[in-house]
This record gives sequence, C-alpha cells and structure tokens, in this order.
Amino acid sequence: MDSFNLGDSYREKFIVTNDVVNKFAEFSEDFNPIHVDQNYAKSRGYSRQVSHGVIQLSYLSKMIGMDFPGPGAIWMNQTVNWLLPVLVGDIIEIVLTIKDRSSSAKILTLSVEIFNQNNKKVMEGISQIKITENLYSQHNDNVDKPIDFSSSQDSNKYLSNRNNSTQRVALITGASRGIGEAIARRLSYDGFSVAINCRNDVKSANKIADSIISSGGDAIPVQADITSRSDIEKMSKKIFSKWGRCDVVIHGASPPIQPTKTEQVRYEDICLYLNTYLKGAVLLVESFSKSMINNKFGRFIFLGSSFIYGKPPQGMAAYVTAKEALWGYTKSVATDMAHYGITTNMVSPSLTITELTTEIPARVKEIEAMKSPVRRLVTAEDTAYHVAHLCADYSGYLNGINLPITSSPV
Amino acid sequence: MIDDMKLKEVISNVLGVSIEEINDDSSPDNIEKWDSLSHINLVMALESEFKVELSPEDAMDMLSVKLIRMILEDVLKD
Repeated sequence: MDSFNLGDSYREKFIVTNDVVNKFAEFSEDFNPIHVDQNYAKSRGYSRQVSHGVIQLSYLSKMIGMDFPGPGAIWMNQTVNWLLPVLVGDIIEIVLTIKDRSSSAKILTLSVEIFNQNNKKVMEGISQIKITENLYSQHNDNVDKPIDFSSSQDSNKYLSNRNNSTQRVALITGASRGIGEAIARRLSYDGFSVAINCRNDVKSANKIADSIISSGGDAIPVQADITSRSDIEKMSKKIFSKWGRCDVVIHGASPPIQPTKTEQVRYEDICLYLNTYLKGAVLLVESFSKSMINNKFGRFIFLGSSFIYGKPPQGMAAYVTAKEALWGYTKSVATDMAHYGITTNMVSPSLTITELTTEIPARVKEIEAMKSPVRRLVTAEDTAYHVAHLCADYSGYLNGINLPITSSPV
Repeated sequence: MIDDMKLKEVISNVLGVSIEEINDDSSPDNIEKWDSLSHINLVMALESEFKVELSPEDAMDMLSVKLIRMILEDVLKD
C-alpha cells in the first residue's frame, strides 16, 4: 500500500482487432450484428464494426489485476461513461491515475480514461480497488510459507529439518550432559550446526563435540557461565566467528535439583536457580536477539518443568519459583518478538533421570513412573525430539507455549 | 530388608493371586483384583503384618509391588 501515491499513473495500449471482437462475441454470445457484421455496421452509419464496450473493461481488468496495482487487487466498484464508439482496428490507450488512497481501508480510487488513436477520449470512469495482503507471512516468505503436502519436496521438508532453507546454527546451554546433551545430538542429527555450552565440564563438552563431528556433524564446545554477561558475549563472539549466525538458542542449564523443606528455604537458595534460569535467559536474549531480528528468524527455547503445572511437589519451592519466573519471561518475549520471526517457547518435561536429579529419591522416581499413563519416566531423548520440533523452520506458528512432555494432561 | 516371601504372601492372600504370579512389576495394571477397594485392604494387611503405620500419601503411592517394598523399607528405616 505504501508504494502507491496520489497522482501515480499507469498507461497501456491495446489494438481492438477483428479477432478480439469475434472471440468476445463467441464467449459472451453477444452476436449483435453491429459488432460482427461490417455491412450491417455500415448500414447504421459506422465505417467498421463497433467493438463491444465491455472489451475495454476486460483490458482494464487485466491492467488492475496484473499491472497496477497488480496481483492481489480486488476490483470493487466501477463507473463507466462511454463517450465515443471504438471501431474494429482502433488502437486504444487506457490511462489509470490514483485520485485517492485510504491506507486504513487499503482502498485506492483510480480515474480511468481511454483514448483512441486520434487522441479522442472514448471512455471515462472511476475505479475502486481493494489492496489485499498476504496474511500468511509478514516477514519471511522463505521460512514461514505453509507446507504444501502435494509437493513431495515440501513433505520431505516437513519430515526432516535437513532441508531447512539455510544452514541453521543452534546454541544449547548446559549441553555437556543430560537433556542438554540429548538436544545437541538431536539437533545435529537434524542438520543443525551446534554450539555445546558448559560452565565447567569442558572435557565432556569437547567429547560430545568430537563425537558429533566424527559422525558427520558440525559442532564446537563453548565454555561460559550463563549468569555472566561478559562470558556470554565471549561465547557469542566465538559462535559468530565460526558460523556468522546463531538462529536457535536453547537454555537448559541448571544447578542440581535438591529438595529442601520450604520452611528452611532462604532467598539465596531461590537466587541460585533464579540466576541460572531467569538471569541466564535474559542475558541470552539480550545477546542473541539482535542478529535474529536482522535475519528475521529466531528460536528461543527455555527448559521448564512439569512441576509448574498445577500443584507443585513438596520441598521444591526454590526450583518451582525460579522456573515459574522463567515462564513469565518466556511469555513476554514470545509476545514481543514474534513479529520479527522469532518464536519463544518453553518445554516442560516431567522428572527425567539425569545427573541433575540424583538427589531425588529412587522411590519418588518410581512413583512418578507408575503415575504416568504410559508407565515410564520421560527420557532426555523424548524431550530433545520435541525441542527439535520447535526449532524447525516450519514451527513458526508455535509461539508462547509451555509444551508439557508429561505423557498426561496437565 | 523386607522379607520378600512375607510380602508376597500378604499380597497373595488379599488379592487372591498365586505367589508365583507376583513379581516386582505386579500392579493394578496386571492384577485384575487390585482395585481401589482391595488396595485399602492390602494397605491395612501390610500395616498389621509389618507392624508399621503408613500415611495416606504412602498408601496412595503404593502403585506396584516394587513401590510397596521401597515405601515399607523407607518407613521401617525412620
């Protein structure tokens, strides 16, 4: 709409041939002899047949729909005043000029004038045209177009992220073990280049990167304390100098989860979790959203917890409070950044057996498994699979959700 | 340690299944007579046989033979 200004005009010439008139007569079944029979036309005082007036409107239709304003235009209204007959063989020129524009209603008002080869005006009128917009994708046609299942290329794309339009890069925090490691391996399998973040355990991060590279993937280890802005900036520089981009940030880093009686919880205990989850997430968004905005594509995924659905378990106040705070931040980022093509979501698995949960008694794990409708605990690989789904190019419409990986309604 | 034979005998008596059919994975999923009513009878029998007092939460969490054993061990330890 912004590209149309008052006074802009467009003109095009057409020859109204015998063939055009005969085809139109055939199509419309208007065989009035004044249009198709030269002798008859002469007998009524015209040197040649008079063409159907609607032929001029047909050319007008073509100009509105194909050229000015062009594809997507809807012709809403038209006044017509024919001033002179157009005879077979005449050359006409149609001139469109923008007389009015409403940006709120997205309607253009055009004056229409048609001249013959002698520069005599043969028709004048006013058109009203509605400009339609692509409601599917405001920003990135390449990424966000819906899957066409009738095209085998597109259905392949749906089945595997390996056909992403771009070589995507993902950063996974807390990826030296557990769920983070499983996500890194899964994304590599799906064709992403992965940056494997760890805080201390560089040996494990190196090992995972090496194993990904040896199976044909692309990975680097990146050490950083997620609660330190300068560490995150250094990590970001390393990723950008390696790949020049970072499309996906997954924040799974966590301190070990330790149940504590709520009456003994101090604010400092909550801060331990809050710093990693919330401060880490805010620093990551600070650092990585700029390039995502430029690329008109991005994915933030924060690891949540099934403990924030409904009634929390006992003795988990610090952990639950910090994850709930992260969820509040997730919703806000999702609301504010989606128009840039950046989606933000939380993924909340139920109790997963990893090193983080060694402090949780075996009995609690067994109960959790037996209470699941599928009678088993969730695995890190289950969660990784669903995280990968949210990372994909095709997941542009999933935004601001907290996906429960719980095997049951929450 | 919980006497495994004693545990199986209690379950066998209350739920009317043979001892050979009972293993760690036995649960309301695979023992037909283990419903909410017989579960109360089972919990009461466990309390009197092992001389323990179970909390309502413990009773609710006894979702398999394995869990019964884990919970009894925890309660006896305290």
